[in-house]
Amino acid sequence: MDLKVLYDKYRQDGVLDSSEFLLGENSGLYSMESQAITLLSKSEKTPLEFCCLGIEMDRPLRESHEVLAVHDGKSVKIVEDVLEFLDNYHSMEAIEETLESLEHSKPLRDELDKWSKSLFLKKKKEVHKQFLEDADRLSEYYHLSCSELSHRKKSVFFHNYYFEKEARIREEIDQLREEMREQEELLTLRYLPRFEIKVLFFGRTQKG
Amino acid sequence: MEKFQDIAFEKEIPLTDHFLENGIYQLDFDLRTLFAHFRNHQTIDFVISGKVFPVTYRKDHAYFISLELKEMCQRLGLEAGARVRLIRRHSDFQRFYLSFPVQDQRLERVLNEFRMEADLPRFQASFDWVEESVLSNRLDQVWKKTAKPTNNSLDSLKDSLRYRFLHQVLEECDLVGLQGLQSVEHFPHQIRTVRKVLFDCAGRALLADEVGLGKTVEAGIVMREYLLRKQVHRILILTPASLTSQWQGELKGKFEFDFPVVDHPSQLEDSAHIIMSLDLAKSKFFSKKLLSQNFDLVIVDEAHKLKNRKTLNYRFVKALSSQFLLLLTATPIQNDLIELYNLVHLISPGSLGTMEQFRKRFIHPVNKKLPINPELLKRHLASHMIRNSRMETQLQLPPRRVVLKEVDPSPQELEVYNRLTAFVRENYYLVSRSAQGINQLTLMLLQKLAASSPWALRDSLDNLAQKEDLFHDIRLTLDEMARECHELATPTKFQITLKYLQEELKGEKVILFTQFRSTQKQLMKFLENHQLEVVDFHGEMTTKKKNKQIDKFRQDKQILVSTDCGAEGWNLQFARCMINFDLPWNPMKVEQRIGRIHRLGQTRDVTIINYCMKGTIEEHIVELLGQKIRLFERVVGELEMILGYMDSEWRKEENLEKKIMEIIVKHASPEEQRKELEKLGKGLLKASRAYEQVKKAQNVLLGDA
Repeated sequence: MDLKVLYDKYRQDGVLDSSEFLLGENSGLYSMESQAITLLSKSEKTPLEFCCLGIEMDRPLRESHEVLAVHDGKSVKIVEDVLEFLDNYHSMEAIEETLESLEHSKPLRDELDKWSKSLFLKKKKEVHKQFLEDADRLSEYYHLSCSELSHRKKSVFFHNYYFEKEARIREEIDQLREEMREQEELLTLRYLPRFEIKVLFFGRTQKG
Repeated sequence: MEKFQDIAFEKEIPLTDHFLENGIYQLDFDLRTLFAHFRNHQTIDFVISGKVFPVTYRKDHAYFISLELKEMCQRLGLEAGARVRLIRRHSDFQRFYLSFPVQDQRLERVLNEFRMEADLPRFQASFDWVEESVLSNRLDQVWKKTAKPTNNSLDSLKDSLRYRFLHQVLEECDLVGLQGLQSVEHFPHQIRTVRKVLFDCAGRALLADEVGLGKTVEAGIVMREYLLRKQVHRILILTPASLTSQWQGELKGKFEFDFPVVDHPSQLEDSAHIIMSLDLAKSKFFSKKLLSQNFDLVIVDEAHKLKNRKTLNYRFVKALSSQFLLLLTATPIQNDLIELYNLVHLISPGSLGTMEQFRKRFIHPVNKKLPINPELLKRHLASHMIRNSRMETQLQLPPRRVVLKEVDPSPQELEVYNRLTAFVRENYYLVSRSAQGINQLTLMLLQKLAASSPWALRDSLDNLAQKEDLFHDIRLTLDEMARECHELATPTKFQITLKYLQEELKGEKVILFTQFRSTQKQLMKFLENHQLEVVDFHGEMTTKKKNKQIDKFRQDKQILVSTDCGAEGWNLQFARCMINFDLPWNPMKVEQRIGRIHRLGQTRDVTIINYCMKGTIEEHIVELLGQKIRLFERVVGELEMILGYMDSEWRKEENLEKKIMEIIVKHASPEEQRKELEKLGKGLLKASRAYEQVKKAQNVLLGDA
C-alpha cells in the first residue's frame, strides 16, 4: 500500500481509490507525532528554520489544513504545499530540541498565528451564511407561530370560556417565547467551532 | 457630507469602545424603539455615501453587529465618543443612513478601499463564532507544548502528510468507515441511507425504514463514521427500557463499541458514550444533568414515543443540546399527520412551517391521516426523513414454514408435571414472604423447567432439596418429586427430537433452542450418546469461544444446542431450521430466536418447529403466540411494535410472564386456564389489530407497497 502512488495519482487524475486507501488506514500504519527534525540536503542551500502546523476542525465544518512557515534568516514565508517543500530534501534526522530553541521561533510563531487567524476568519464567513439561514428560518417560524396564536386570542373573544381560553393561549405564547430562546441557544452551540491545532514538525535545514 | 430632503428621524449616537473592538453596538431604549419593526437576526442595510454595510440586528440582546462597519470606523480613525449621525428617510424606511464627522475626501478614499474589496464574501457576523481571545489562547497552548523527538524517516513524514490530505479528500465524497465493517452485514440501502444522513441531512434525520430493514445498523454506521471523522465525542442513545441491553449487545457485537447502560448518576460523568432508557433520562434528576451537557450525537430509538409535543418525552428531547440527531422509528405516523410534523420539528425546527401552515397545506380537513398533497410533502421531507421499504429494497425474506409437533407425554411424565404444578400452586402465595419458603421466582422457574425437561427438573429439585434453610416438609416434598423424576425413562420430547433429527432433518443444520442450561446439558449428552454431531452455545462463553463454536457448527457439526442468552445478537442464517425445544412465555424471546435465522441475508426457506406438550401450559402458549399474534409468521421486529399497543400494564414483557404464572396458580382446571389465557389473547389480538391499522395507514401516507 504505497501512499505516494495514491497521492500522485489523485493529484494527477483527481481520482482516489478509497478502498486501497482505507485498507492501509485500517492496518493502523498512519500516525503523525509532532517532532523536532533537521532536514538534510546534498546541494548548497541557505540554512532555513521552519515550523509546520496542522489545524483540524470538526465543527461546524470538517476540515484539516497544514501550513509551513519558513525563515531564511531575513524574513518568514508561508508555504501551503508542505510536501513540495519537503521534496527538496533527501533525508532527515530527529533532534532533541524544543521550538523555543530555534533562533527565529518568535517570527515563525507570529506568522503562523496570523495565518491561523486569517483561516478562521475565512471559515467564519463560510459558515455564517448557513447559520443565518437557520437562524432566519427559526426566527420566521416563531414569529409566525406567535402571530397565529395572537390571532387565535382575538378570535376567542365571543367564546363562553373566553378567560380560560385566553389565559391558555397567553401561556402558549409565553412557552413559544421560551422555546425560541432555548432553540436559538442550541443553534448557536451547533455552530460553535471546535478545532485542534498541533505542531506537526519543526526544525532547521542543513547541508548533509 | 450627504444631505437629505426627506429625513424622518435623525439622532446622533456616540461610538463606544465595545463597538470599536467587537463591532457590537448596544442599543439604548430610544434606539430600540427605532429598531422595533425589525426582526431578530434580520440583516439591515446601513448606507454610507451609497455604499451598503450589512448589519445584523439582535433583538433578543438589544444590539446590532457589523464587523465591516467597525473596520470602516477604524480606518477612518474614529475613536470612542465620536458622534455619528443616524438618519432614517421617509422614502426608505427599511434602511439607515450614516454620516461621519470626517472630511468628505477622506471618507471617499476609505470607501473606495472597501469597494475594491467588494468581490470578497460579505463580511458579517451575528453570532460569537471564534472569539479572537479563544484562538490566541489556543495557539499559546500549542506553542508551550514541547515536542518529543521521534525516529521517523523523511518518507514516513511525507506519508503522514499524504495521509492527512487523502483522508480529507475521502471524507468529502465517501464514507471512511466502511472498510473496517467486517462483522456487520450491511446492505446497499443502508449505505445509501448513511450517505444521505451525512451528506444531505447534515447529521440530523428521521430514519423511518420499515420493520426489519436494519435501522440500528444504519445508526451504528453513522455513529462509527462520525467517530472516525472525529466529529463526534459525546454520544447519547435513548431507547425504551426493554431495549437498552439489546442496543448494548448489538453495538458491542457488531461495532465493538463499549456503551454502558447508565442507571446511576455517577456513570454520567464517567462515560462519553451512554445508553439510557428514555423514561429514566427524562426523570427530574437525570434530565437536569443531561440537559446541562452538550452532546455531539443523540440517537432516539422507537422515536414514535415523541409524537406528541405536549409530552415530557418530547420536551426533554427537544431541549437536549446536540450537533447531530437521529430519530429511529418504523411508524412515524400513527393517528395523525401532525405526529410526523412534530418529529421533523425536532430534527429541523421550523422547516415545515408553523403547525397551522402545515395543517392547511398538507392535512386533509376530515381525515387527519390523509395528506392533501403527498408528493409535495415527500419533497419537503426529503432532506429530513429517510424511509426504505421492502418493496424498494427488494429485500423480501424467504417464506417461513411453521411445524407444530404434538407431544404425548407418558403417564409418568404427566404425573410428575401435575404434581409439580400442584406444589407450585400450593406454595406460590403461601410461602413467598417467609424466609424458609421458596420464592415466587424459583417456583416460576420450576414450573417452566417442568415443561422443558423432567431431567432438568430433576437436577433442580435435587439441589433445592439440599437447602437446609427451607421448611422441612417442603424439602421432603421436593425430595419425593426428585425421586419420581429419577425413575422416569427417557422423556418423550427427547425421543421425538432424536427421531426427527435422525430421519426428517438428516443432513440439515439445526439449531435447538432451550431456555435452560440444565436442559441444554442433558440434550448435549443425550444426542452425543446417539452419535449425533453436536456443539453447544451459551451465555457463559467468552466471545472468542462463541466464535469458535459458531465456526464448528458452520463447518462440520449438524446441531447447535443453544440457550436464549447465548444466541442474542448472533447471525446464524447459514442454518435454516430451528426447533423450539421449550417455549419461552415471553414472546420477545421467541422472536429473538426466529431472528437468528430468518433475517436479511437468508436465502432459503426457513422451518420452525414448535413442540406442544399435551396437558401442559405449553399447549395454550403455542396457541396464544401462534394464533392470536401470529408471531411465527411476522417479520422480526414487529412484535415490539405490537406490545407497544397493549394496555400499559402489559407493555413490560416480564408482566406477561407473571400473568401466565398467575393463571397457572389460580386456576387448576385446564378449561379455566384456557379461558383466562383467552382473555390475555384478546388483549394481544386487539394490539395486533391496532398495529395492522397503523401499518396500513403508513403505507398509504408514505407510499410503501
